Amino acid sequence: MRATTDDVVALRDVSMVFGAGSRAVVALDRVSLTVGSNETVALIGPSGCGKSTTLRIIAGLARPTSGEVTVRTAGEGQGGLSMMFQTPALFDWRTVRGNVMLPLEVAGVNRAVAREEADRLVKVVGLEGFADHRPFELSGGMQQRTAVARSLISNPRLLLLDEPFGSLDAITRDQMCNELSAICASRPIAVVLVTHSIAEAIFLADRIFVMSARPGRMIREVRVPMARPRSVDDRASEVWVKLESELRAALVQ
Amino acid sequence: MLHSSSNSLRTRALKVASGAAAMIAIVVVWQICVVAFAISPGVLPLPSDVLRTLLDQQNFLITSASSTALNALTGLALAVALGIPLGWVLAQPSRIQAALSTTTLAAQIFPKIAVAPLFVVWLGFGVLPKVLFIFWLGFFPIMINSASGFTSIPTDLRDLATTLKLRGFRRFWKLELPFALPYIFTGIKISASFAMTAAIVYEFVGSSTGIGYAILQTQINLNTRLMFAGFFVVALIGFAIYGVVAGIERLAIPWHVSRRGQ
Repeated sequence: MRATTDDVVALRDVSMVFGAGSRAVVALDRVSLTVGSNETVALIGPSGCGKSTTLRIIAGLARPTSGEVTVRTAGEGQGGLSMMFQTPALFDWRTVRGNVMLPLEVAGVNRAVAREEADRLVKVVGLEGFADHRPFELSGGMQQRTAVARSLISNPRLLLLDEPFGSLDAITRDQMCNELSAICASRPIAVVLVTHSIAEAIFLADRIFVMSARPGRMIREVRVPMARPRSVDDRASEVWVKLESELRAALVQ
Repeated sequence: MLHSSSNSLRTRALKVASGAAAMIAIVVVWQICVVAFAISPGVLPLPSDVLRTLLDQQNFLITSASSTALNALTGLALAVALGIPLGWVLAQPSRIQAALSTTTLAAQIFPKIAVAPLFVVWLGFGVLPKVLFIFWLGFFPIMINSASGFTSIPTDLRDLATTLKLRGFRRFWKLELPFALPYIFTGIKISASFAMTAAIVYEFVGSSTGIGYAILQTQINLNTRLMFAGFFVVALIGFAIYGVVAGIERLAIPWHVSRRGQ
C-alpha cells in the first residue's frame, strides 16, 4: 500500500494502546490504510476490533500511541471533514433547519446563505416540509436524514460514518444506504464507513478492510469489482454472493 | 404534534380550577372547625378574620413583604449568576474539580441554615448579609444541577462539536448551555423555594424589617391573626417566585421531554 499525494487519508503503522502496565489493552496494532479522493472505504469487523477507534483517529478525536496519520481535507470550493455517528447527534433545541445549518454557522457563513443552503439540503434528503420541526417530532430515520444533510452541508472532502444506520430498522436502513450512495456519487468525496454489516459494506464501498479483534489488526483487504452506485438488484449477482461469503469467512477467522 | 392547542388549554384550565377548588375546600373546613370546636382565636383565628386583617394591614404587609421579596430575588439572581459558571467549572475534568467537588459535597450536607447567626455576627443587620445568606442557600442546588447537566452531554454531541471546531465560549453558548438548561432550571426551582425560607430565617435572627421580622413580632404580641396574614403573604410570594421561574423555563426549553405535549 503506497500512499500517494492524491490520498485524502493515509494511516501508517498506527497503534493505539489504552491504559498502561499490566492492564494495557492494544486496541490497534500497526494499522495502515489509505483512502483516495473519490473513494469509499469500509471497515468491518467484530465489535472491539478497533474500527471505531480508527475512525476517531482519522477524525482527530483521538491521538494514536504511535504511527503516522495524514489527513488532507483542504480543497477547491470544498473542504474539511464531516462525521456521522451511531446516534443522529442532533441538538434537541434546534429545528431541522437549525441543525442542518450548524456547520456553516460555526464556520461563520452568512446566515441567509446558510439558511438557503440548509433548505436545499433538507430537500435533497427528502425532508421537505419538515425544516421547522424539532428532532423529537421526527422518526428515527428522519432524524438520521437530518444528520446526513448536516454532514453534507459544508461540502466536505471526507465523510466519516460510524455505523450511522445501525439503530434503524432494516427497511429504512436499506433506503438510507441507497440514498447515501446516490448522494455520494453526485459529488467528489472520500468516505470511510465503519459497519458490522457485510451487505452495507459491499453496497457502498470500493474497498473493504476486514479487521480482527484484540489486538485490532487489518487482516484482509478486498476490492469490490462492481461499478458505483450499486442497485438492490446487484445483491443477487454472482460477484456479490461470492464476495459476501468470502468476507464472512474472513470475519470468522 | 398530535394534541390540539385548545385541548391543552382546557387541560391546564381544569388543573388550575381543581387546585383552586381544593384550596377553597381547605379554607371552608378550617372555618367550620374553628366555629364547631370553639377554638380560641389566639390559637387558630377564623379565616374570615385573617382576611379582614389582610385588608386592614395591607400597607404594612406590602411594605414588609416587598423588601423581603426583593432580597430573596436578588439573592436568587446572584445564585444563578454564580451557580451556572461554577457548575461548568465543576463539570470540567481537572484538579480544580476534585478539590471543588469535595468542598461542595461537604457544604451540601452541612445544614446551612445553622450558620445564619454567624452571618449576623460577622455582617450585621443590613441588606447585604440578608442577600448573601439567601445566595448561600440558593447557590448549591444551582451549581450541582448545572454541573450534572454539563457532564451529561452525550459523547456523540461532544464529538460532533469537536469535529465542527466548536470551541470556547461558542461551544458553551451553542451546545453546553442549551443542553444543560433543563438541569439548570431544576436547580433554580429548588433554589427559588429556598430563597423565601432563607430570607425569613435571616429576618428572624438578624433584621428589624421585613415580613419575617413582622411575623416574629406577632408571636411576641400574641397577634395570631396578623401572624396568619403574614403566612398568607409569604406563601403568595413563594408561589409568585416559583411561578416566574417555571414560566421562564416553559419559554426557554420548549423542546424538552418534560414540556412536550403541554
